[in-house]
Amino acid sequence: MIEGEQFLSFIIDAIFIGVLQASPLILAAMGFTLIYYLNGFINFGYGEGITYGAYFASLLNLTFGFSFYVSILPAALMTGGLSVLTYLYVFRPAIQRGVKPSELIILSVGLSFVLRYGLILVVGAENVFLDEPPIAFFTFAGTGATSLQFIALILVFTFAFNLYWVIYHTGFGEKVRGLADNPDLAQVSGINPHRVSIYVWFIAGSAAGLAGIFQGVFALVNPLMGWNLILITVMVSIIGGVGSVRGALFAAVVAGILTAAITLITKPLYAEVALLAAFIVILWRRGPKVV
Amino acid sequence: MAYFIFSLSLLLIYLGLALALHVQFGMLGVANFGVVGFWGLGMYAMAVFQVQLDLSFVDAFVLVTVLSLAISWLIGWLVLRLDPQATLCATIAFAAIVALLIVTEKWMTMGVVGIGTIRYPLRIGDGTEYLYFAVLVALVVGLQMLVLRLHKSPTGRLLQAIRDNEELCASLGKDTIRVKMFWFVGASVAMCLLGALSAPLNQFLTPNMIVPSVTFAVWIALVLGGKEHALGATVGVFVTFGVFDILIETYAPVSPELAVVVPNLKLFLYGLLLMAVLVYRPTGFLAPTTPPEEVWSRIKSGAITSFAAAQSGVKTLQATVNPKPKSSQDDKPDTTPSEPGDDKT
Amino acid sequence: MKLSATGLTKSYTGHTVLDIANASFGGHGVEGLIGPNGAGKSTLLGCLTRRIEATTGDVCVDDEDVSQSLMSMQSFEVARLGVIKTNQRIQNFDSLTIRDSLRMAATPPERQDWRSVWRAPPVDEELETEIDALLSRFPFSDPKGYANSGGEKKLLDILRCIIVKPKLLLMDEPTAGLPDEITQDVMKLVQEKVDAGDMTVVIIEHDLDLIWSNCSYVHFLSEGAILFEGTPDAVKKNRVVAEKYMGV
Repeated sequence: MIEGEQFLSFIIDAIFIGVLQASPLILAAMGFTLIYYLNGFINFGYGEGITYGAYFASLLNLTFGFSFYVSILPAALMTGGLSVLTYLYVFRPAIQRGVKPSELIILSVGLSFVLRYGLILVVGAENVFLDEPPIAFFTFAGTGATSLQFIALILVFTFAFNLYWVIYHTGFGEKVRGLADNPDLAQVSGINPHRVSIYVWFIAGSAAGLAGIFQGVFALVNPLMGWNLILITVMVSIIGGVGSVRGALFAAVVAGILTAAITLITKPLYAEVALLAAFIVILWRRGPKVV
Repeated sequence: MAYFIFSLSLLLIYLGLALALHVQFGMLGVANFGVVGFWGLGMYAMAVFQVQLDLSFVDAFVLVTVLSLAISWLIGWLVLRLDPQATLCATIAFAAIVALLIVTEKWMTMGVVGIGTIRYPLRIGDGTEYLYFAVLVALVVGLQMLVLRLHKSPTGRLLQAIRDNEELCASLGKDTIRVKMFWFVGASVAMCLLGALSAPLNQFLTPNMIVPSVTFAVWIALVLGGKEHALGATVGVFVTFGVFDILIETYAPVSPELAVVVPNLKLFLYGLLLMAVLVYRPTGFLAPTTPPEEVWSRIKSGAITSFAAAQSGVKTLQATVNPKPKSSQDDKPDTTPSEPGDDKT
Repeated sequence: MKLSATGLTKSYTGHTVLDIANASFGGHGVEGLIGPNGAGKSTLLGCLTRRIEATTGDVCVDDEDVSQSLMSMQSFEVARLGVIKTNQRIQNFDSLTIRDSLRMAATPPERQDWRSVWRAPPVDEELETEIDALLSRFPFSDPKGYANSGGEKKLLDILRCIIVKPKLLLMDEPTAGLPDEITQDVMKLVQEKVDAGDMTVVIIEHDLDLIWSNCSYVHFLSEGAILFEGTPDAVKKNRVVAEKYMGV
C-alpha cells in the first residue's frame, strides 16, 4: 500500500516537474518545427535565438533596470527581429543560390558560432543572473513550485495554444501549411512565400526568445545555453515528427516528463544521455525516410 | 620551443582528423558531425587504460583500437542508412553522449577533476617530444598518401559515385551499404586512434576538451580547403589552425588581455568564413577538378591575394580608426574610403 | 534471362496500383511493355528489380541453371544477378567523367575494394577498349569530360547499364529526352547484343513505332494488370488495347 502511494507521488512529481521544466522546451521545439516545416532544413542557428532572448532580457532587466515582467515581451520581439534578419541576410540568399538542405545545416552551425562567439566578444562568457521579481511559493498535491514557474507555465501554454490555433485554424496557418506541403502549388495560388516566411521566422524567433528568457530566469544566462538546449530541441522535434506543430507540442511535454522521471531516479546528466541514445535509436528505426 | 612542438603536433592531429572527415564527407557524403566524439573517445580510452588499468602505451593502444572498432561499427550501423540530415543529427547526439559520459562516469574518467598523467610510448629524455612529433608526421603523411591514392583508384570512383547517387549505384550492382560501412568505420577508427595519440600530447585530460568546437574546427578546415579535393583537408588545416593557432599565437605580439579574446575571435571568424564559403564558393578553395600539380601555384596566388587584401584591409582600418587630417586630405583625390555601411549591400 | 512474377501486387495506402496474376518477362528477345499513363509500368519494373517493395507475391529468376526467388534480395543483389534497369528520369554521377562513370559501373566488386588503393594503377585494357568502342558509336560533345546536357546524361545512363553486361535489361522510356537518331543507334546496339544472345530486353515506351519495329513480344498493362500480351501484330489487332490505349 505504501509502495503504491510512493509510486503515485513519484508519477505526480515527474509529471509536475516535467511540465514545469519542459515549458521552455515546448516553445523552442514549436518554433524550431515551424521553420523546419516551412523551409525543410534543420536550423542550428535557432539555438542562438534562445541565448539572445535571455541576453536581451538581461539587457532590459539589468542594464536598463526594467522589471523582469516588463522585459519579457520586448526581449521576445527583439529576438523575433533577429531571427528575421538571419533569414533575410543569411538563409534566403543561400537558398536562392541553390545551397542544398544538408549544407544549409552546416551553414546554420556556422551562423550559430558567429552569433555565439560574437556575443561572447561583446558581453563576455560569464554567467548572468536575471533580477527576479519577488517570488511566492505554492504547494500543489505535495509538490512545490514558485509563482514564477506558474506564470511561465501559463504564458508558455497560452503562446503554444495560440500558435497551434493560428497554424491549424486561420487563413495564415493554411498558407503556411500550403507552402510547406506544396510550395509550387501554393505560389501558383497566389501566396507570397517571402512574406509568409518573414512572419514565420519572426514567430519562431520570438518563441526562441521566450524560451531563453524563462530558461534564463529558472537557472542562469550564459552564452552556451542555446547550444545546450538546441540538441534536445532538434531531438524533440524529430521524435514528434518534424513538420507537425502538433507533434512537437506533444513530444516536448513527453520529453519533459520523461527527463524529470529519469532525473528523479538518477542524475540529470543520465537523463540527457538516455534521451540522446533514444533519439539515435528512433532515427535508426525510421530508416532512410526523411526526418 | 616545447610549446611550439606541441602546437605543431596538435596541427598534425587536426590534419589527420580532417583527412578522415574528407573520406567520410568529401568522398562518401556521410556528414559526420560527431568528430569530437570519436576523437574524445579514443583520447579518454587511452587515458583510462593507462591510468586506471596501469597498462603500457602499446597495450592501451591495442585495446583502444578494439574498442573504437566496436563503437564505430555500432554508430555506422545506426546512422549510415539515414538521410544526410538525420545522419548529421545522430552523430552530433553521439558526440554529446560521449561528452556527457566523460563527466558522469567519475569512477572511470575522474569526471571534471581530470585524468592524468598519460605517458608517451617511450621516454628518451628531452628528445621525446621530437621523436613523437616525427612519428606523427610519418603517420599523417601516410594518411595523406592513402587519400591521394584513393582518389586515383577504382575504389575512389566508387565512393564518389555513392556520394553522388547512392540508389543509382546500387541499381548497377554495387553493395553501397557495405562499402559505406567499411570506409566510414575505417575513418572513424582513424579519428579514435588520433585521439589516443593526442592523449600523451595533452598528458592531462579534462572534459572541457571534448567540446563541439573541435568538430567545428575540423569541418571549417575541410570545407574551406575544398571538401572534395584530395589536398583540401591539408590546405584547410594549414590556413585555419596553422594561421590562428600557430602563426598568430607564436609570432603576433598579443597583450595578455587580448590573448583571452583570441580563441573566441577565432571561432567567430571560423563561423563567418564557413558561411561565406558555403554561400559564395561551395567547393572551397580547391575545386574538386583542380589537378594536384596545380595546387601549389593556386596556394601561392591565393596567399598573395589574401595578403594584399589583408594589407588594404589594415590600411582602411587605420584610415577609419585614426584619420590623420593632413594625410587624408592629401589622399582625397584618388582614394574613396569605403563606408562601413557599404558592407550591407 | 527470364523473370516470372506470380501474384505480384503493390498497394499504396490501400490503393492497388499493380496486380499481376502470372506473367514472365525477358523470354522473347526484345519485349515491349505498353499501357496508358499511370498503368503501373514503372512500378512493375521497380518491383522486378526490388527497388520497390512489393506488397504481396513473388518474383523468380529462371536462368539455364538457376531458379530462385528475388524476394529476399536487396536491389544490388538483383542487379548482380544480371537484371539491370535504365532510368526514366535523368540519373547521373555528376562528379564522374563519362569514362570514369563507365569504368565505375563495369568494374567488378573485387577490384573495387580497399585493396585496389594499394595496387598499381589498374588499367583494365579489355575494359578500356570496350569503352572506346562504345564511345566511338555515340557523339558526346566532350567524350573525355562530363555528360553535359540532359540528353547526354540519359544516353550515359543507358550505356552504363549496357557496359555492366546485363542478362536482362529493363529500359524505362529510353526515347524520352533523346534525339531520334541517337535512339535508333541505341536500339541498334541493343539489338546486336540481343542477337548475340548476351541479353534479353524489356522496354517501356510510349513511342509505339519503336515498339512495333523492335519488339517480338508485347505486354499491355492497364490499371495495374496485364490485359493482353502477344506478338505486335496480335496486340495491334486487339480490341481492348485499341479501346483503352490507342485512342480510337
